Amino acid sequence: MTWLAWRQFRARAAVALVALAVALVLLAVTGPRLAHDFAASGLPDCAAGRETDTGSLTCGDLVGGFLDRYPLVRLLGTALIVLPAMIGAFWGAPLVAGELEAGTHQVAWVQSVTRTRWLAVKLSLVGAVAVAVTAILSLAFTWWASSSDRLGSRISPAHFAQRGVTPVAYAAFALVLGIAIGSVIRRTLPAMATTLAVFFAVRQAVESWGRPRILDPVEISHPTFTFYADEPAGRVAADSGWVLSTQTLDSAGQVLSSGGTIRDDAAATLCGLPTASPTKAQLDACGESLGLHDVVTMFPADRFWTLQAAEAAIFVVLTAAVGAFCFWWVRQRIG
Amino acid sequence: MTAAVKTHQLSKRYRRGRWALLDCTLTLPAGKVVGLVGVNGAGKTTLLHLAVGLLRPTAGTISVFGEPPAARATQLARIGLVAQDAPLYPTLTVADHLRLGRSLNPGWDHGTAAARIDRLGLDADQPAGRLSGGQRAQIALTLAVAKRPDVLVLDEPVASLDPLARREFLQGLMEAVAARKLTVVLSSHLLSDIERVCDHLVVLADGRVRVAGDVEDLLATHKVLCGPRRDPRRLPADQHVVQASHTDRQTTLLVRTDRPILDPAWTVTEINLEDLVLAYMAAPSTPAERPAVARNGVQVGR
Repeated sequence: MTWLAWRQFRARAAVALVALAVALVLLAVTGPRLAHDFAASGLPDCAAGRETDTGSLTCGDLVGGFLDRYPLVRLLGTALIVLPAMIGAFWGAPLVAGELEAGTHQVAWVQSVTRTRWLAVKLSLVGAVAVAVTAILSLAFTWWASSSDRLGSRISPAHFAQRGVTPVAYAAFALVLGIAIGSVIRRTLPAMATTLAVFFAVRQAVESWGRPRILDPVEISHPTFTFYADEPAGRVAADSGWVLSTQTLDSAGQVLSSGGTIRDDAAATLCGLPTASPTKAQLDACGESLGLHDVVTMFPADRFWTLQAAEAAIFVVLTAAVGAFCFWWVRQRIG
Repeated sequence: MTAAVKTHQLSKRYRRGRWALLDCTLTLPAGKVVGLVGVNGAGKTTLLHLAVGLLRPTAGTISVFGEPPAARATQLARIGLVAQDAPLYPTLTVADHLRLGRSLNPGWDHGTAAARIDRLGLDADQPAGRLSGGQRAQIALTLAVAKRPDVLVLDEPVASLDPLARREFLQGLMEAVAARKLTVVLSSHLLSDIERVCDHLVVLADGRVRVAGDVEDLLATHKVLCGPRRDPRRLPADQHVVQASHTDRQTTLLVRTDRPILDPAWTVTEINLEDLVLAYMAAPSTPAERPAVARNGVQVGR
């Protein structure tokens, strides 16, 4: 059975391995230069929370300029988002649907091998390649981007799914999802499209609903107006983490602003100041008199791997459930 | 008589809701070549796929040599299938298909398989997608025979073949049957093929079994009676009318009976297999062939 599974899969596996090799070469060639450029750019200062001493350029300018010189960050980052979905659509969906569509299940399922074993062998082989390819690419990319990730952005939703172990769990889930949808729909093309849609829907649901809830976030409270100027290190901790919400409360605990920190003119109105352009000293005094403080609910950057493990665990459980469904469906419901 | 395939009130309904097979109770004897006849849509493929385990019954049971089909690998090893239109993996070569057979079947007889491919003059490195229908059918037969099954199931194996390829295919089949003590179940809507190779017959129509039996017995127990016009209901109780036609003065009946026809008013003639099959395919199901249990008794679909 292993021979047949490999014979049917080897062309697709070869395409994946070639693409992986190309990506690894690109990363290996550009990696050392990227680390060097990063060290020389003044960005490490930004990462440490100090303003740069390069004079005219702010940290924001530097980050933008740096990323523009390394389009690979975005390119491979996107590839890591798309790769699991492609595995589901191109490897998972046709696995059973392709056989049913071509009628070749009438060959495969009447040999001296049960459907369960047939599916187990195919799933293990394709699954092993899918996991290996994704793991290698993800870990290589995580290593490659480790210097620029010191800017602290990797825990943010935009980058979280491109690094660490989550792409591997996504790939495993996408594969069994594709197989399940292909088995139920029984036609390859609609199954591929449905797999893509369902996969991204589940990813989005976990990202926006599940991920913020699997672990308890940290709440940071600080005085509203004095904070940013006086505590740059604290600001970096807040900026580099994944902020779920920011609220401004007064001393009585009443929420004055919930979409972010309170606006200067709103605070000025509360204190009876002229709203046009209150001075910093006025605002500081206003904030102190009202007891204004911001409460930031967030995951700090150092929770990255814990959050990765938790999200990967969610997808491993989903993979097991959908995988079990595949076996049940192929054994009991086809025919 | 050992039963190769036994069914009891076997019924199958597809998702569209039509009963493809209903109350089918049959015993297919081992060691014979069984022909399954019926028009397209009569339920032949459904019955064959149930026998090899590609389909599951909606109601009733089916067993192959006493076990449900495809339940275990050892049970699958006893069944060979040549599916309709002989589907193969288009990108796999002829040699790949033999390799597939060898790696998926512990009982694989590679000598026989290689010799058959050799004799057919097929290029082993040719992808199956470029083979003709006849060649594909031959590869499928080779795959099915070389796993050394006890039951060989063929679904319309010659339907899409030209006369020459058809003769070659049936020849190959008969050689394989002669070489091993095989039970063959073969469906076709071509009576001439059935007549040439089958010694047991099952006629299906509208998902029901119309008649089943050894060809010899069927021919011996069916008689065409021709005589003055009369009501077929007034025949002796042991004579079951399969088909009746009347003119103003004359009545022609096809009856099934185990006893000699004694009534001197009838002119009794033998019937050939083709007429017999056509009569059963055309006739509404007669009480004699109707399964014992009422329909709604088995409609407890899953």
